[in-house]
Amino acid sequence: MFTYAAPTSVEQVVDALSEWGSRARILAGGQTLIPLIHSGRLNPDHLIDINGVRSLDFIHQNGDLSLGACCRQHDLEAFLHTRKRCALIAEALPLIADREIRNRGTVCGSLAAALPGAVLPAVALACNAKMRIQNKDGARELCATDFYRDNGSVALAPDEFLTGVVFPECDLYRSAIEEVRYTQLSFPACGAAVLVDSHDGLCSSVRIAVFGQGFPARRMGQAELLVKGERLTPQLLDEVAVRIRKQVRAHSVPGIPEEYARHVAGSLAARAFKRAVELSQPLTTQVN
Amino acid sequence: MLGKAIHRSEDARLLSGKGRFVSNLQFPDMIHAAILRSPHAAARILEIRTGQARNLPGVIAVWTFADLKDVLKPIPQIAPHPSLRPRTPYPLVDKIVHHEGEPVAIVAAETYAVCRDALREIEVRYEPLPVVLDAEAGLSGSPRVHDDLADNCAAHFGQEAGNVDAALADCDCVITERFSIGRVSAQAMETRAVIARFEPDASTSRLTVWCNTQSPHILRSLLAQQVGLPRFDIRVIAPDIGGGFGVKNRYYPENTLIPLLAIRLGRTVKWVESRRESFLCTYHGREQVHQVTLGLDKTGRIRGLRDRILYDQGAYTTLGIVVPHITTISVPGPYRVPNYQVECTAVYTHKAPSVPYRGAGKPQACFVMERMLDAAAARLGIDPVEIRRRNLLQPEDFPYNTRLQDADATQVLYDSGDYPKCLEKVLDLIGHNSFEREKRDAALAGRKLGLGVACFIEMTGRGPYESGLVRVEPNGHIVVSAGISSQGQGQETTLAQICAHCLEVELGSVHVRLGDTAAIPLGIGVYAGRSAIMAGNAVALACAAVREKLMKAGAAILGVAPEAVEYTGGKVRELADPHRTLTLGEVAMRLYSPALVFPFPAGIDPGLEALRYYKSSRPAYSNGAYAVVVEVDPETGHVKIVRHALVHDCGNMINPAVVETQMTGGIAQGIGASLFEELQYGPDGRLLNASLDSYLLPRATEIPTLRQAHVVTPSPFNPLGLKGVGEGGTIPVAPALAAAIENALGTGMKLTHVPMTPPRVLALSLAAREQSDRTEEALIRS
Amino acid sequence: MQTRTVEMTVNGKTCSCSVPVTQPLAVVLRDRFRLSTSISCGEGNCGSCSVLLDGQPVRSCLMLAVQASGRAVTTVEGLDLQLPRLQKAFCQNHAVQCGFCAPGFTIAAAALLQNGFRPSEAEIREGIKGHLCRCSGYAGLVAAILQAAADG
Repeated sequence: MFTYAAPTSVEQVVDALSEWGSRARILAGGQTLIPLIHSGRLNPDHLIDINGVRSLDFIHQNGDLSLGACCRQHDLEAFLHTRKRCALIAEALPLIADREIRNRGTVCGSLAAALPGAVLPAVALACNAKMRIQNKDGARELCATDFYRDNGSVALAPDEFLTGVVFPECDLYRSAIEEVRYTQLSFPACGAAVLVDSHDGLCSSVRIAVFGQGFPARRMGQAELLVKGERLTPQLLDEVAVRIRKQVRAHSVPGIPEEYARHVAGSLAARAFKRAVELSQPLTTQVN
Repeated sequence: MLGKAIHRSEDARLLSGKGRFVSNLQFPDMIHAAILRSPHAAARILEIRTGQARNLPGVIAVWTFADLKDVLKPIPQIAPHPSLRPRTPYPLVDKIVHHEGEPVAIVAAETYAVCRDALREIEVRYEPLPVVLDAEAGLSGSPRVHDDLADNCAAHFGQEAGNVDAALADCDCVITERFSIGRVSAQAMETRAVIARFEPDASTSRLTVWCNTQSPHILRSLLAQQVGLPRFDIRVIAPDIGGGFGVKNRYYPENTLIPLLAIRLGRTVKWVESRRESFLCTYHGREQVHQVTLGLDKTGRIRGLRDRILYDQGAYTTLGIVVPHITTISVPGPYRVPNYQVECTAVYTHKAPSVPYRGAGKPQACFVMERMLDAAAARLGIDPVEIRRRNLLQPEDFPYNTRLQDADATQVLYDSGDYPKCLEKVLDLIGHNSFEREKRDAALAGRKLGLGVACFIEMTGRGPYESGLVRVEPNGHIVVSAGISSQGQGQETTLAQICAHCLEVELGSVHVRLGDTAAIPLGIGVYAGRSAIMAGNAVALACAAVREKLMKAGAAILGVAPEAVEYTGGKVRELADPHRTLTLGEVAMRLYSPALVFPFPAGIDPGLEALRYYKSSRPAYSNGAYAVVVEVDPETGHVKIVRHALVHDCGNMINPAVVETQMTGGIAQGIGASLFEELQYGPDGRLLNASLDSYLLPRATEIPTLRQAHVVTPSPFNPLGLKGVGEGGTIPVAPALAAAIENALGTGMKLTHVPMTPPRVLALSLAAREQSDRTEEALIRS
Repeated sequence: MQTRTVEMTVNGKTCSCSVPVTQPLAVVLRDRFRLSTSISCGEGNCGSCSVLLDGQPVRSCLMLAVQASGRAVTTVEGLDLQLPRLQKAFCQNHAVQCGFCAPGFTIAAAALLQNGFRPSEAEIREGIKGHLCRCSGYAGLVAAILQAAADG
């Protein structure tokens, strides 16, 4: 049994969090939180429903893409679809569960929950997204690569919450996401989100974020270094895959042995990398 | 009416949100129950403290075994067998827990939320005990699941037809393999639910129980034993049921506990199983290990087959050896196996009991036989389809005596079928002739396609009887009842079709009432594809009796001799004067008349109804062939079904659309169990994937529309010539998929475990690639 | 136990009711309003409980009833215009067997076919993948939605 509060301003949310700390949970979309409560895995004393905080319900694009914590996954999907921008995020969103979940689920909720296998944390990592966090001392920004820790937790103290996220301008890059999921509605067993800066197969740089049910979303820095300044060849792809397999630290989950997850994370990263580089559509070079 | 794909009468209410599901039923004054379950697979209960829970506002009762020890009895063993050393549970655990999820305490409270809070307040001290988690380990006998047994052997049985040792000693080709089939959960969309109400002053049954059970009458009999009330004092109602698949046929602890609460508390009590509970304590299916030896001559004809089976019984022998016994007699399947020897050991483990789940032992048998044929085909260099052709029973072989005995000692006799025709037709449907080219073209585009085929038979319509009741009402409408309940198989429609056909009336005038012990006195229930054969024939018998009475009574009303009338088009008609007719309603009016003027001639009783039992000990055998084309992603092991086809023979079809939807649904469950579904346990015996996001059921994206065709060879074993369809779809899927995956990856017979999840397929893919790299290397070097 | 008064529109009728804050919308719809909302898993994995919220399909088990304040909720019973067409298509295609998942699929179909959208078979399968049916293998449901789209 929990209590329920529906604040209407960020200040009120922060006040509630300051008082209750880890005994409280933020309720935004509820698509992650409510199942956790229903199954007994989480037993919060207080729920703070932020859906009434108007100032958190926004999407702005001005070069960078900036969203508030109440931005629904579906709304962002529609926003990007009309504008044909941010290909990596636009590719990721329809992969999440189904339309009904996305009608309620929020982008920030998924980012903060960092469920194993979720694609948005990997997208945030690949984009070097900036996480906006609020506590009673004010607002701060944290790069996704610092927000997502190696042990799978996120850098959010019990008395703070994610108010929004900024995805820096990424339309200059080619992108692709590859996943394997057993059924089309399960969380991916593993996958990779890739952003690459390349021309005619010559890669200046790449960002690779792998994700999967058995390991936290992570950037594969060592594999990224291999690619710098290289031309895309089958050998390079193999090397990238091998390096990623060495770097991924996975544990087995039911049905997904860690050797499988590691091996396939490497294969899918290579596949995403190849697809991104070989993308034939012209990129939008115009900002805004 | 027969053979027509008419629309279902059930749909009117189900599509308006007016389905009457136990889990949705509400009663005034209703209270709720919830159950505290053991988190341990094996444990001794040292102490239970319920004081805190009892004191919560809104809590009405908290019971443990100690509170009920004067009344609790073990749930009866209803499928005895000479080789069985049975164990069944008490409705609440006394001292020793034998599987995770066993009920340890029960709470009744005003609301479900209070129940949940109360559960958290109950303190139980357990001493965890060592666990046995697989049949092979269990054979060693240590640790023992049941302390009072010498080891973990629940049963051991077998039989032989012919002389396998001699046959195998004299074969050109002998193959030995080991197969394992994983444990699955039925996962109907509606979980189990029980509502009970006790009215001490009621003039008819004092205890009414609503339960989504497949066998209301059997439940009633067992419940009578459990709560100490006579059978006639209990009414069991199974209204609409959101899926059964066999596991809702069993008698569960809650079937005793909820009525006991109702009796003792004087309130209507409702319990609905949570989804997680449905994984833990709705019983499981399938888990077996087979060690098989197949001997053939060099033309690929089977000479002998030996199978040693280990069946993971789980903690209790809820339905004895029914499932593994079915497996033992099903392995030969549609093939001529001149010498066959099978042995089965059922082993106790610390898991939930294993019981019939759609297919009930037949999918495992088919997997084994089909895989062995694929292995033999590869070994002998014979095409896998051709090897099947060479071994299939032929139409002239029927009725075919397998020389095997069923568990009730009757001979296993196949009634009829044209097995080769089904195979040829499915090859046609799937595009077998052009597949090599299709595969090559796909390979050029970097895609790996493969095709697999499996043949199967399906024993249906097990007896010993089923009941059918047909009553004509004075308004000319007809009420039909049978001793079954429906879990969505369309029996309200198909039984109405039979009645409309037999009595030559409009379908709309027939009303079918199922799932109620008050509607018909005796019955057995739904399982093993028996509704059509058993209830259908019972209803037909009852219709025939009503028809006969219609003529006799009609003749008497018309004042002519019984031979002077005929019954056609829903009317009794005087032969000599065809204008003199009586409708059913008119005859019924007289026979039910409150005016008491109709003189009942000799041989005619009041009322116009008949209750008949169709008795049979000869199951009918459906059969078919299934073919599937898959695309395998060699880098991830992901398998996509590109297309699939089924040709099925279930004899005469009452409603082809009902048949086809049963087949599609069965195939879907077959796909689930073949590619995605397996219950997984930690080393402590706790289920690791007890939720729908970790135990994956196939979605609309996984199952393309099935191409279906029918062959019809009626069964000579029942008057309507019917064969059942409920389980068939689940049977051939795994081996056909295995063969298709291997065909796509270019390997021999390698997939010996079900399910074939991406990690297993990837392992095969990598091995195949390594093999072909080595071959390439060798070629380059040479 | 904390309760709150929720004012919402359910199938076109405004209502005000006091609900425990912990109660999911699905439970209130099923038990308080006696509507056709099935609850099969309670955790958003099966789609049996789906309803329209301001015309958009959502899982009602993943919303607290208090969150529906000021919103319009539609269940199968409130699908006036589309329901006959959907029912006819479902019935003619033998889409439904036990019927427990039918309310959720009906809502999903209604949502998919909004605004005259005519999905392809692949789009239908993708569009209903959030909904589980254990009985049917989905073939009849897909055929029914294709037919309903064509009839619309």
